[in-house]
Amino acid sequence: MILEQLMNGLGQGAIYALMSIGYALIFGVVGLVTFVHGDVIMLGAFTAYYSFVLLGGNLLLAILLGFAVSGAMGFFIHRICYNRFFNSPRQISLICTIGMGMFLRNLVQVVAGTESKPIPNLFGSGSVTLAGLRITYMQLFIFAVVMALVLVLTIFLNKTRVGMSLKSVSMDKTASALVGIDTKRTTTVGNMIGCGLAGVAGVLLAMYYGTITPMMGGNIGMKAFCCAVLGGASSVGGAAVGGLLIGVCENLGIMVFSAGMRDTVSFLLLILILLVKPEGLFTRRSR
Amino acid sequence: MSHFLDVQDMAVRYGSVNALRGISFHVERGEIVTLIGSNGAGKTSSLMAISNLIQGTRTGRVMFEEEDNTHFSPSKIVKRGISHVPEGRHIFPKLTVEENLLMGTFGAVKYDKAKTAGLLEEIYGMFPRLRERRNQLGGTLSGGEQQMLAIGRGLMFSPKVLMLDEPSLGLAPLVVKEIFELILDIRDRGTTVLLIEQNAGLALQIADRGYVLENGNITLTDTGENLLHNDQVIKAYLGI
Ligand SMILES: Nc1ncnc2c1ncn2[C@@H]1O[C@H](COP(=O)(O)OP(=O)(O)OP(=O)(O)O)[C@@H](O)[C@H]1O
Ligand SMILES: [Mg+2]
Repeated sequence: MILEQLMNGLGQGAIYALMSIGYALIFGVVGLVTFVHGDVIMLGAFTAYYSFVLLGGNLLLAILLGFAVSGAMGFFIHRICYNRFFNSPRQISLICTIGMGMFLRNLVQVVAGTESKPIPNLFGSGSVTLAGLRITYMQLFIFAVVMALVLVLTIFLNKTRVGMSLKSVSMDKTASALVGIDTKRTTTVGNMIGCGLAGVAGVLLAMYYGTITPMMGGNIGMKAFCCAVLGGASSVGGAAVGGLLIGVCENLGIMVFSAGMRDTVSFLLLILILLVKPEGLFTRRSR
Repeated sequence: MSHFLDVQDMAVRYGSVNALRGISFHVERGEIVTLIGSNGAGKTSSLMAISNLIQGTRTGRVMFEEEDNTHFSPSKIVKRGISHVPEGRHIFPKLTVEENLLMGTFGAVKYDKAKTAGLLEEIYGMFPRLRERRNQLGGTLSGGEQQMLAIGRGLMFSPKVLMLDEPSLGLAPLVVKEIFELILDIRDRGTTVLLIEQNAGLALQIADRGYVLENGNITLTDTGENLLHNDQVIKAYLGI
């Protein structure tokens, strides 16, 4: 029983990891928290819904579309919230992301309606048993997708010119500009990839939960924020660990309390960790 | 005749603060030129204005090799051959010494492996201490080593002009001497140097020409030698 909950936690944690990796990427290049992330995840979830309804039950297609649609949204978010306010006080960008989130939520409500949408379960209830541990096909699929994306992202960040530019911009914008990196373009790319990953996380969440609503972004965005903060805000590896940690704690927590306490567990964890070890968590200077 | 690097009527404001009030200065190919001035005189702002990194408003013109660079992006300016080693060094803390140096080649058009390795060798030749520490993280270097790394990184793409913002800041006298000898060496290898210093005595000793900056205005300009013996400069900056 406890092992099964652990497995559930890891599955959900893998999705959390993906969305907080995206969050950390954005925080890194922008140097500022964002409040639109949850709604970008929601956008990915709705992309999955329409992909399944209109284009059939093709999982890979849904994931690709989720990445593309949310990634494109990342481009506009960067244009609207950050690029325009490059020389303005930083809170303006921050407030702009809040507005952008409201806009997205309402836009999806207008287009898709306010009621929740069911997502077909393409995996049935099938599972494999490994050394006495039951792992559902759904969980296997989630692990595979997340691990593949983390692998690709790691190679991208460490081996390609664009990836290394991303890393250096998140370390030091001025230094990056002075070695000839186009910081504006790099920040745009960082936003697009971060949002694209959030979109994929949305697709996976939609499949995992089985229903989605236009309002789902609020809570989910806060969770992505929690996981990223736990992992050190702009560290990609740290965000992944933070995501897994929160996923596991939530699922073990609801064994002790009740299913309704899921969010309480994760936010309690955030508060506790911030109380005990706040200095190691936000180590990066912004700008 | 036009100048190699020519800053014309440059003014910089940060909100209500006038950091530069329309200054003009120039640097010729192969020179060491220094801007000296006390805290807040506008020295850093002058370099930031050339690199188009001012977080405020800027008017005036920057000409480089007879081309108007004023509105180029910072990365384009680097690609034109102007290297800026900023105040506070700005080392990438989580990259190793060698990775920091390699980042320096980002400004150039893509170098192949052999060319990059050659440049790296050249920098290690100038800074043997960096070679010893090539795998150490940038953030863990001493202040002097970080300064050497910052200068080394700035030289990695063979720039035409090297702009140095207070390379002596916070360093022991012996290290400062070492760095100033290096600056002479860099010039002798063919790189033009624009040097900003509060340590006016040292800067004027190695500079061909100097400008004195006060409250955003240039109040005096002459050869380094003459400024070193100028009564006004002696009183205000050499503390004798
Ligand atoms: N980003 C900024 N925002 C607001 N004011 C600024 C900013 N940067 C510089 N200033 C102001 O502009 C003036 C000139 O600053 P600058 O950094 O150019 O001086 P400096 O000569 O380099 O001084 P120091 O020797 O202390 O480095 C100062 O009064 C400073 O407070
Ligand atoms: Mg300065």
